[in-house]
Amino acid sequence: MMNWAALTKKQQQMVIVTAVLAVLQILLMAHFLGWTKPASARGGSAKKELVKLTQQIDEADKILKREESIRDELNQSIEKLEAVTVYTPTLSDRYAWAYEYVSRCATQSRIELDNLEEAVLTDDSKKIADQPYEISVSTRCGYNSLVEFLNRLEKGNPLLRIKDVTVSSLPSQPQSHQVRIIMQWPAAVKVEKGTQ
Amino acid sequence: MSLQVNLLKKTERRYQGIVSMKVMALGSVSVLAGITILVFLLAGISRMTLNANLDRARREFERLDSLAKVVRNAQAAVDTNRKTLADLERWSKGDHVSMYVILRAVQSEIPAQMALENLYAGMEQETNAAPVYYTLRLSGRSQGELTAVDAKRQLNSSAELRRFCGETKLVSSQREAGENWIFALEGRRLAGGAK
Repeated sequence: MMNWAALTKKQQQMVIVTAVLAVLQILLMAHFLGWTKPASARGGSAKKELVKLTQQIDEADKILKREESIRDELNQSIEKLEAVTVYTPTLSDRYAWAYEYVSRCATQSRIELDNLEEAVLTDDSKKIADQPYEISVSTRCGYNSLVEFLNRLEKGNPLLRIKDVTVSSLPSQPQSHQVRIIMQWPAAVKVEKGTQ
Repeated sequence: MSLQVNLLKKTERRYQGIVSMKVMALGSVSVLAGITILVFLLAGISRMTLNANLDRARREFERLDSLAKVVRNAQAAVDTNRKTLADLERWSKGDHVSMYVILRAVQSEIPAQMALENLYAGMEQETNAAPVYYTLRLSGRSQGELTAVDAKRQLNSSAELRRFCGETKLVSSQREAGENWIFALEGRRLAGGAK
């Protein structure tokens, strides 16, 4: 054991300075190595980035393992949608598309169309492509012909919806009626194909 | 008689032990320095390993992320297409009734003593925000005071018409001349509501 009293003053100072330096050194080292921080905050930005990257890689791995089933689902949904797009008017030339269909049904029902016009859009909050497409048809025909016409229109296109029908009698022509039909199709169908 | 003379100077004074105080001090400093170097060496190795792992993870992420992005886009497209298909299903089915079925039902239920002058069947909506009503409105002339009431019963006996506009009611009936009456019938049901 060291005899403290036997040391000279200078030697005592040397021991004290050495001890203080040793303690300081240990404290600085502990701080530098992050031992003074909580366990969750240790490691710095590099460790955090590594943890984040590892999570992202795991997520990417998970979704890549499901790639085949997602591709199958996508192909099926595209097939189903493409099968129904033939029943909706093409956005670029909706009037001609609707005119052709309605006119064909009218001819088959032996009806002559007087007028076919697009309805004025009233909902300004929606884009044209997001609104149902509406047309109004006017004709004069007998009641039975009208029922046949409606039957052909509705059965030939599952996405066509007759919004309303107004029938008024014509005093001069008891067998014929003034008819106005408003029909609708859903908003343009968008087929998402994903990034190829 | 013996005489002891201390020839050591004050600074040359020594203490008992194996090594001197100076050696002990230098020794402890060396040990601390050694430990410090060792710790920093280990920390350096750990840091290098971390950086190497980080570089490898970055490369791996870059490789996988571009592939995963394509699959994520495909998944988003599947979700959008599913929603579109569900919307179309709701549009084509919903609680909508085919209009030719309605007109045929009206035709078969109206008695021969009645002549319709106006018929309206459809979805009525006063404004964009207002609710939609399935409405059937008939008006015309009939022979006999209770013909319109009979017609109302007949119309209400039709399942298709009940499903379309609920109960049809006689709204007005007015004698025109003799046995000729002018009548109006109406049925109205809130779309999506009880049938």
